[in-house]
Amino acid sequence: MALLLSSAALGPTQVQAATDPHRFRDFEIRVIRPKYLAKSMRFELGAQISAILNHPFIYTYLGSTNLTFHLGEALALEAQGSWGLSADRRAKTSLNQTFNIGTIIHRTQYIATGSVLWTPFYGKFQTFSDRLVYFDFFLSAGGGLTGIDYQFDHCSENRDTSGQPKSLNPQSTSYPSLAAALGQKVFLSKKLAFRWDINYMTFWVQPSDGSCAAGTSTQKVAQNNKTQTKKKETQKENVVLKIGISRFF
Amino acid sequence: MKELFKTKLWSAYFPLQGLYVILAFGALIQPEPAQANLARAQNLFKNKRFMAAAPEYFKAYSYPKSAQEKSAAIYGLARALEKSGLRYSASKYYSLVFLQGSQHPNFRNAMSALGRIDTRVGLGRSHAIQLFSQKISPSSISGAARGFYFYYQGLEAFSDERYRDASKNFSRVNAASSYYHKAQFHLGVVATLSGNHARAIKYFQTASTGSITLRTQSILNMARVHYERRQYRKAFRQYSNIQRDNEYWLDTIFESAWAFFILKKHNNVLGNIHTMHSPFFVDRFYPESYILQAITFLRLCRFPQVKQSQRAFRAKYKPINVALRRLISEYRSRPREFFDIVKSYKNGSLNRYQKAWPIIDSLARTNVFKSSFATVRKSDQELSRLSSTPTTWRNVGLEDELSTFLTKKREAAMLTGGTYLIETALESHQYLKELSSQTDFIQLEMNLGKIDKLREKLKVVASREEERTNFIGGLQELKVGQKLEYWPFQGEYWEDELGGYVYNIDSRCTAQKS
Repeated sequence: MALLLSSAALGPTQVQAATDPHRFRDFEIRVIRPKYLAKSMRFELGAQISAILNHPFIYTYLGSTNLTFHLGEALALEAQGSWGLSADRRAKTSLNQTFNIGTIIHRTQYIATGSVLWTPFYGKFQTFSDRLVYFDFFLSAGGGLTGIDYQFDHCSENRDTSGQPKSLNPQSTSYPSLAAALGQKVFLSKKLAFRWDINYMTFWVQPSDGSCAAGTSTQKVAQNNKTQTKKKETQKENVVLKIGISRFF
Repeated sequence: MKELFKTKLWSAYFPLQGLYVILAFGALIQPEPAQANLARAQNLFKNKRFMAAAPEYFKAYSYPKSAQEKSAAIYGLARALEKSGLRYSASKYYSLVFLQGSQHPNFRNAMSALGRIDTRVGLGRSHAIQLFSQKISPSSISGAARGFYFYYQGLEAFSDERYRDASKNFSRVNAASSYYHKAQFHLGVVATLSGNHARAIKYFQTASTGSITLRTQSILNMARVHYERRQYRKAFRQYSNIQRDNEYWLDTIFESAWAFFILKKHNNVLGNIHTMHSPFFVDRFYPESYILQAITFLRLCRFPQVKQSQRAFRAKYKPINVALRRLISEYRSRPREFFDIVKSYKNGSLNRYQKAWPIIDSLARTNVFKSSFATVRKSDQELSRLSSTPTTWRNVGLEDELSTFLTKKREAAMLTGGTYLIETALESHQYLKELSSQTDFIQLEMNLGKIDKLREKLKVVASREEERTNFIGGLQELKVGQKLEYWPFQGEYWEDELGGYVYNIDSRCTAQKS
């Protein structure tokens, strides 16, 4: 009881708010004000358009979304998902048609990752119209799944009489992946931010998954093939640029 | 009638003698029958050809066959001018109708119209007060014009320091009137002067729902009332409602710096003063800020900085004082020209008296200057519009008459404005002299080693609860768990940081705590 009373008496003093004298302590004058966009314990929901930049034979565009929970101003947990489509580049078409060269194409169909975000930088800039814009830079690291769509259009046995590839038994296969990213959020208001980030993702595929044998109709053949080549995994990479908008709740 | 035109200002608004001469001249060139003109004028007005109706009404007014026709013509002329967008010009003829008293059939309408014009463009206080200097029975005033009447009656009583009468009149301004919020504001001022602070706050709260200017001034006054009552946290809350782009914002920074001083928040005092001394406000007139800075450093036993503040005060304000003295001696007997100087500064065309610009800037921010400046500007606008009116306006003498009226109105506004500005400049000169003496006094006491006594004098008592509260930039209380951003000041001023500075220095007093 005595302890309770004394703590009650000390209450207002104990919870008295104070600024941090050590922040920029070498400076005699500081600006101290409420943070423009305080992220702590808030959710961020975002939507982005993504493009995979490092594939020479195909264009891959994905629609992405993220749900982020900010534990503090610097740390956050994020779940991301992307789904999209690929289209052949002129180089691939011309190789196929002119030289009859086909190759296994790893078309990324979806990506799902979970990551930890760290925001070490926070800044502001002034526009020519005297508008002040805040931004932050973040780094993230995590892991997840990358879904690859195999079309088997490189397989000569899958071509019709005119030489055009047959779309036989396309398959989607998921692979565990690791991801790291660097990005920036530019705060348009206290709830809205423009966000871009560049992601490096790596995953390991079974070469047999894209082989022409795997594309044939019987699953059994593919299964056998997999078993035979299980130990020969190949590392693949995606460099993904995402641009979009985030809303804070 | 003679009594009515006894003042110079009044005759400036209603130059009737000149009007009769003009009318006589008009008679020579327009020998048409008046009744015909009135019917034609009414017909044109009905067809919404107001610019064409005005000279016809003027002709009818100039050659009346009967008092009734003359009354109809003058009121019609006023309406045609108002509909043509020449509000000041219209006010001249509405005033003539109004001055004929309640026997004029359009007395009430004229009064409502004058109230309407005053709300839109501002007739000028002298004009309005002169209108109501004659005895009018309040019952003869129509509902729409009651606010106009009682507001100016209140204002007149207020300027004569008859606060009870003022209060009575302001209270009679109806909530539906466009003068309601202004009246509530003045009721707040009267309540403050009578020491009824709680009531004053209520009045200011109501007034703050009016125009943007009124809102700002009400917020400032609420903050000042709280300051007076030593409720500093409440005062800060009000001050912080004034945004940086508001022209009164720097006043809030300065006044709140004093409140911080009383609460012994020295780092906040110095932060606010740092904003005031930034290059953004180099031409603003806050000489007291240097004194406040000096005594704050004194409280912190930072004596070299005390001397530095005093030096800065002298370096900035000595040349200003000299320039001000020169300006006053040059223009003391020429208020109209002095008004012109301030007007040129406001327009950005003044390239003389640079050293006195902070004073001129402060004069350009006074309400009296703003009101006179608006009258001058609007008179000029109407004068320039007169040059593009149809030739009939010139032929019948209407253009000349309006031009004379508007020029005199403009001149009268410049004269009254200039006279007030010179008085204010003289007060500023006196104020600077007093501050200079205070600086010398601090210096002398420091030289004599009487620092403890001096610091003792600076002890002002505030409640412990208020003293315990911490404040960040922007006059905001620091809340527990609040996320803050810190930016160091490295010699570069960012506009968004103004008002957000907080010093990070300790007291150097060892034996005594301030």
